[in-house]
Amino acid sequence: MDPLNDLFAELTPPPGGLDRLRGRLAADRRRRATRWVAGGALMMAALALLWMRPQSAPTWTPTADLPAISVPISARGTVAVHKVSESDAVVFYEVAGTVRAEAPEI
Amino acid sequence: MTSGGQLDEPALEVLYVRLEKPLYNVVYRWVWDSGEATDIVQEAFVRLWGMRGRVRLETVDALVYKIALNLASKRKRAQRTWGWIPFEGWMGRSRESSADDAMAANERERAVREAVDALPEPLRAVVTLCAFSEMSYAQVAEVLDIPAGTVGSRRNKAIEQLRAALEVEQWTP
Repeated sequence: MDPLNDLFAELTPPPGGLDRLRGRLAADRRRRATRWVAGGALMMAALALLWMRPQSAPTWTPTADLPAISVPISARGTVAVHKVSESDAVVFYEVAGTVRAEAPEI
Repeated sequence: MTSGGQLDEPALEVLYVRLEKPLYNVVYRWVWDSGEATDIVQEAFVRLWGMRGRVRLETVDALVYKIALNLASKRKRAQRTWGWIPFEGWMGRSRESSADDAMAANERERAVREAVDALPEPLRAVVTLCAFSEMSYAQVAEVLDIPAGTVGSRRNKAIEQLRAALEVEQWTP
């Protein structure tokens, strides 16, 4: 006879173990589902933010020799437009850009 | 056992029903607490479920034992750290015929527990797996990542140490 059988009596685990395991697996499934939903919501929010992101415009600081006029166009900022001098009377250029905060108001 | 080659939930339940009792018995001899042993068995199956995609079905028994032994070993170390070791009488023991018999049984349990606790972890793992898991030496070797021959030698060594400890215990007033 196995001496270990003499030494150890076989114990019976408390009843209801399988039901507890089922409960834990169900809770695990719920947690995973919540994680997927939360992850999906985060991704949607990130995409929405990306889509709503203001388009960046080239930054231009007015200088003394290139005076410009300020044209407020929206609450998002200010765009300045500058007419560049050109020898050809028929052709003219305009430069448009966002005025930096430190730039003097014109 | 499976559908589509993977461990599914019905298969896990069948496995649980088959292994709950032997696993509980093995783990109980590490933590000596029914609640802790039950928790560890549950946790082992939850972890197995978590890694079901990587489970090799032919070695799933060994894997559950491995997970449970790791958990039991950690819990045992935590018990030592916090100096908390519960004491319970035999679970599932038939009623003793008298108070004297019950006392003697509790004494016996205490002595066995002290002797098992005194074993080094590698010997304790072998002796508890050999006693309850109904696994072959080769399977026990797989659980413990040791050669099959080592299982036999460790088992014999553990039994010798247990016998020696329990004989001494009998003469201790």
